[in-house]
Amino acid sequence: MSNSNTLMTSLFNPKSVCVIGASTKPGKLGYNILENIVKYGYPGRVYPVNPHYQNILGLKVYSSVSEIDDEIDLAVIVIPAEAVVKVAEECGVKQVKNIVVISAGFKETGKEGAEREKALKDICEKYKMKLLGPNCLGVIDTFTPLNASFAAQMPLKGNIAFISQSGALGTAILDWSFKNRIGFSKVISLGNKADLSESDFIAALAEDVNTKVILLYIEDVKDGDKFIENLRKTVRIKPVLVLKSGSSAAGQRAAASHTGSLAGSKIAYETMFKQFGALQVETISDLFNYAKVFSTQPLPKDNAVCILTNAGGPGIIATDACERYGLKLASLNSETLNNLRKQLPSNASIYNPVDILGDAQPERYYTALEALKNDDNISSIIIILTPQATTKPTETVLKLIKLVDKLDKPVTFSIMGGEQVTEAKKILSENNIPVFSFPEDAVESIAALTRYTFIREKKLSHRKFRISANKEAVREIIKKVLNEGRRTLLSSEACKILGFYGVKTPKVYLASNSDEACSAATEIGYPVTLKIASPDIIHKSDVGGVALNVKNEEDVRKIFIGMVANAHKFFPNARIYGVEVYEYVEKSREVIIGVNKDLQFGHLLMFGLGGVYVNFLRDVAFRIVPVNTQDIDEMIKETRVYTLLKGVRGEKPADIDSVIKTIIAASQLVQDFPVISELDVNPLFVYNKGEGCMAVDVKMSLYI
Amino acid sequence: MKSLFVVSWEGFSGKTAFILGLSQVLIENGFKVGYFRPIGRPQTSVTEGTIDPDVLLMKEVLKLPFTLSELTPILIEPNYLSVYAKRDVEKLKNMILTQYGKLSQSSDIMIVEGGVSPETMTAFKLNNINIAELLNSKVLAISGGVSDSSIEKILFYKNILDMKDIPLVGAVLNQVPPHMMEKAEYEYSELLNKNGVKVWGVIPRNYEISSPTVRELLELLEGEILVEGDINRVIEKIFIGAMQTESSLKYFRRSGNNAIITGGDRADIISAAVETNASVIVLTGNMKPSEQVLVKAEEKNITVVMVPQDTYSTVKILEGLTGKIKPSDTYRISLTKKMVYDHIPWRELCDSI
Repeated sequence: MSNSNTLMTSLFNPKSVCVIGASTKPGKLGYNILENIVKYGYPGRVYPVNPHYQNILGLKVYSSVSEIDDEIDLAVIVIPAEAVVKVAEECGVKQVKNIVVISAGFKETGKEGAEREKALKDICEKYKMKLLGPNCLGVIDTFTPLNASFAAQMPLKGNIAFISQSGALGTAILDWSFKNRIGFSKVISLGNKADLSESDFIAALAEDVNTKVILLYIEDVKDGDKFIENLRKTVRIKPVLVLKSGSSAAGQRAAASHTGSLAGSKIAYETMFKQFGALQVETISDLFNYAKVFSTQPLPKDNAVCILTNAGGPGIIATDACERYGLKLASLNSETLNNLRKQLPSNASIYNPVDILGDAQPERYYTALEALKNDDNISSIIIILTPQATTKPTETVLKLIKLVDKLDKPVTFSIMGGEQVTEAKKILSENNIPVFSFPEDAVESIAALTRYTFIREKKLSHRKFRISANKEAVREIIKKVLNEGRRTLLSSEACKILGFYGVKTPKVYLASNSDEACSAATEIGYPVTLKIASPDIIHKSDVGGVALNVKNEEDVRKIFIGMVANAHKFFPNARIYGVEVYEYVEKSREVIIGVNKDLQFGHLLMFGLGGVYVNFLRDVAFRIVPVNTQDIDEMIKETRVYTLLKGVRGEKPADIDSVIKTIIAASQLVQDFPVISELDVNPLFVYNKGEGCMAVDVKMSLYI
Repeated sequence: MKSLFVVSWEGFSGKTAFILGLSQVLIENGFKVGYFRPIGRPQTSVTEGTIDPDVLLMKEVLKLPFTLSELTPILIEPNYLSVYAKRDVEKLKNMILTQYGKLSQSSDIMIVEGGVSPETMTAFKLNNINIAELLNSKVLAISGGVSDSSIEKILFYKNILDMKDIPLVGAVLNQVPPHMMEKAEYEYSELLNKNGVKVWGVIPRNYEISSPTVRELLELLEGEILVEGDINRVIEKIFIGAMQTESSLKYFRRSGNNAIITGGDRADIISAAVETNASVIVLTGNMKPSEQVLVKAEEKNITVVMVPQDTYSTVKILEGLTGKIKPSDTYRISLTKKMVYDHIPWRELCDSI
């Protein structure tokens, strides 16, 4: 990660900074940025550049970069877009290490801007300069300190790094952070991502000692593979929280209109984040709620929670929320229970949730927490306080702070109420203890923390399982299809391909006339299944293109003629190859295995309940290819059909191992032949344990 | 002088493309080639008036020193039967003969292109059969695509020609789709041979010759061109982009060289079309998309055209989109020559006339 190191030092902690386009006029960006650098105590050397001035803010102004007699680590460019490329070239000649282009007027404005951005990118590549932006807010490091941005203020110092694709969201969040006492280590505005992108920064921040948690707001990912690569490494070190916008259909349209390109699908993003360990949030408020907890609390051991409350109702609400978010209530050990029993009034509930009653005074909260502190069965604690007649919120909180500091478990507070609890909440915030108004938020953020524990501790299986396949034969089929100018395979071809990857498929022959169909049926043995063979008809059964359980020659002949005539009628332009004659196979549990190529993250694998209801029940799970057996095992267990496969009501268990093998085959196939853009095995009949499975209907499309 | 009368049963068989290719091959090998289309199919062209565009094409490519009305004396107009009912049939015949004589002077081989369809002008004994007899030509039948019925049509021609003792030199099976090649080369060819029809060639379908190009689509729609990409790209499939973003990718990926019709407000569909390298994107209802979207199309050299019509009207207009070769279309003209070289034993064919 030497690249990240360079980025960490020369961009966030540069020895020298020049501001090209520095101005004497307050209110102009060129002034604000220079002022921010100077005012917030940047310790390095600062060089304003502008041919029209001699002196700004007491600093000598240079008429061009080349005039500066010093090495420049960072150049902030804030001049009209038309002049940027030329100035960037000057920076290149001067061997500047990083440039941040604040100026707008690039890709986001149209054709001319796009060409300009391309030229800028080329210059940076030529001189090996790193480029942030263009069209961005700038970059802030509170530890250096360096505020090379036009943000109105310097954020508070903290251990949260915030990367934002939207500059405007960045400024709004900064302003909001003061009110909420949230501190940042670094703030990065990505802009158009012509060069440096989210992937570079998560890798760099992984190594940043001042950053404990990384927050990411993005509209798209620039390079899917690189992002995955850097993400999976980073989450082993610190959590990455992501807010990704543009996931609704209308949002996707808006994003496409904004960026001009289509982001990967919502499902692909969600799958990718989950599979590679980013914590995806849905709202900005969640992003910062979680950030508060991640930046201040230790990680829980597991998902066992203890709730400490002075009110029954909110305690139960919190308990419900725990179950909803995948947490469990810890069973307190006997020592804890004894302590609680001794110390608490007899009508208090000593079992989790621990209810210390409405009259609880600061002392009672303290003794209860003291008793819970060392219980190994408890991994995290949620403390709820409601202001009742004799409650002393402020005093309670002041008393608890001392103890919370010494805990090695994460704690969140839910202090309910308004005026009466304002002071208490403020004190907690000031002491870096996460506090929420409502219990659900307190639970949800602990749940996020717990999820991260599991992500970090997940044992990565490196077991490679490869199926021996006849790749040459597959290549031949694909070649033939492409030579015929087709992109959709006939079912018989798709079946053959899966067969070469060890997947069992029914016997199938292509018949171009009724004679051939009859002899194929005789060869296979009756009954047979007939399907129309046309690369242009995808949903065959909708147009009478499938006949099951055909029992004799006469029927085969009749159905052949009818089927072809029907196909011609419904799809006058379709290429009809004839009819495919299939071996009849015994029905069994139906599952689906699908692969679809996502624009951003490549092949997306799907598993779930199969058959005709697949689109209605949507009992499916996804993974990004490649997958190993561990991924597949988890994927299968995510679905409800897994319960069916295990066997319900005395049914024999299904051959899940053979399903796993089939999924591996599908994953390996699309990896070996990336030209396959779509694969759909529906249904895959899964027989009883030890009896295997059979890919009954296979669709496959290519995309070059 | 040799005289070859080329007929087909229906339009779009690729007859003109074949004649164009064969003529070029013959000229390249030192033959003097003449061309005549006694009965033509008129079309209105802004620049040329009412003409037969196929004849114009031949005139330009073969650099024939004759006027269009000399090359096509009779144009089939609506209600032509009423018009010619008043004419003297013998005079018409003589006119054709005289014209033929004039055009064939100093030619080694005359290629005569048949009428619109086999029955045209039967009322005046001037259908394809009559004219082949009149001009003493040998007939070559071209079929576009192959099916049982197209093979039978060739044999039907053979039967009638046999009755009149007009020689049929054989047939060419043109525009054969890939999955029918094997059947055409063996089963169908054998059947034709058995019935006394020599098959000179089985020519695979070539979209580059037969499909319309973006240029033709633009001419037809007369919309506002927002991005001018590669207008020589062919169009094989037309899609209406009204589906969800995810499914649009699935559909667009399944075929190459697509024309995508959608609204300017569907940035997602337009992006999917760009992503799947469409030939052209047609935006209906005069809705212009954002610059960012157009930039991406431009980067990939994809034409984007905006029209005022709604989607249905646009599709109706595009029904008239056909892949007619124009005299300026040098690339496609050269492809027809290559087609004949690659698939037809042209010297043997020439010797048999």
